[in-house]
Amino acid sequence: MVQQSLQPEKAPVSLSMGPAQAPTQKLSFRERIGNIADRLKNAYNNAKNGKSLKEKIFLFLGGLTQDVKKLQVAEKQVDQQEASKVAGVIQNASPDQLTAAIKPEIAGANPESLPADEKAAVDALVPVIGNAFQNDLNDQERTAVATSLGFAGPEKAGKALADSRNKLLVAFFGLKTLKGFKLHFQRNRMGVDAIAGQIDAFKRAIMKGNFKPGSSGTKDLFKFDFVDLAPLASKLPLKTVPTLAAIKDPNWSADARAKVIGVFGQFLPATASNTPALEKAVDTIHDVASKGRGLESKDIATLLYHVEANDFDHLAEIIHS
Amino acid sequence: MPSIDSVILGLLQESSLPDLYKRIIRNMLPDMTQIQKEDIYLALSEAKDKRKALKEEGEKICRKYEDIVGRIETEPDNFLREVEEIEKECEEDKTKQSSGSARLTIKQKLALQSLKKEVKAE
Repeated sequence: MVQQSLQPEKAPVSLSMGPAQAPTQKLSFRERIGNIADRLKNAYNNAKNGKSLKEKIFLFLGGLTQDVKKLQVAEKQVDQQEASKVAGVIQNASPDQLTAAIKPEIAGANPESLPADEKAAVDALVPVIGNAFQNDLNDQERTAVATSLGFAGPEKAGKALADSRNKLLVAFFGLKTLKGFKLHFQRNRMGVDAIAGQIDAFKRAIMKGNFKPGSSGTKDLFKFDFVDLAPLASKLPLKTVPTLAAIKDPNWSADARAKVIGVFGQFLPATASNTPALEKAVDTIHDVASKGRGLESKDIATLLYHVEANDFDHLAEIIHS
Repeated sequence: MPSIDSVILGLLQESSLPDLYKRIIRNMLPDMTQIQKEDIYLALSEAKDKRKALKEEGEKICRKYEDIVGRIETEPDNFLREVEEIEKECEEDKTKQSSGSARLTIKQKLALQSLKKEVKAE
């Protein structure tokens, strides 16, 4: 049994936080190394034996740096391996276990005493955070999602709860880059309508507050990386009045069309701007917009679909910048 | 004998995991299966052992360079002479390529020297 070998040690073992023992060891590892380096530098400056001793000291300084660097790399690897193994356990935990672990962090010790609307928001937030942990996110992304949704403690949960719907949208659509979306297109050869339908179903479910990971209509969305729709919608030139007016005009001139393509092109890398794919995307959006329909997920999905062949990574960078 | 839960809590405190992970594990602990607990225990204790080994490695590095810098400060001429002798030996060894020690670097030889000194002092 594991218990038999479980003898916790009191002293922390981190290199940087090492405890004191002998007089010189009262300093941490970093302090000791800094001290040695300073002494070597002083010795270098004070060396009167000519060039030779200076050269040797210089070499020892180099050796010291190299040795410390190797240790730091090894320490980082240990941290990463530990986090990865622990993350593995969390990823394979049951939804009930995760809910029980996450809920107190965002709702405080007595979630039952919350007002009904806040309680509902907590119930919506918990599976979202749980899902963030169980999907293929890195530590940074998990922390960003959990923190943005109030995981930093009950005191911060209030704010997260207040605009939980927006937060949910932003967090979810911001989780992954367009790169994942591109891959999904490639793997599944999905049509624009299918993707737009899924995105809309997902949004509706969140806005109504009855979003459940894995539920019908949203299930497929969880299989692929999310598109950063919210920032995308706000950053794309669709929002700019002249561009919007031009793109909505059923009788737009060739000149106006070229200008709109040019505006879109500014948001794309050189390789993707002014290409037939971009022209087609703009034409499709124009077609939709000029018929009086709003610019919705479908239009954005169309745009993404048609520029997909170019450089999504860069597009994602622009959108996230 | 401490329970596995209390051991995990102790290890968690010492670990370098992001705070987020620590809190989730701490909250999950009462509902964890034995297998999950053992997996967590193994991950944390393995990392702890590795950190301990790295710490010892760090101690060695400190001792080695503290000895070197101490000698540079107190007896720079002797030190320089010794290093040059070792370098010379190494050069000779390289050309002979006859024994295992021929492949020792200057750094290793210096480490060996200070080790011998330590043993003598003890």
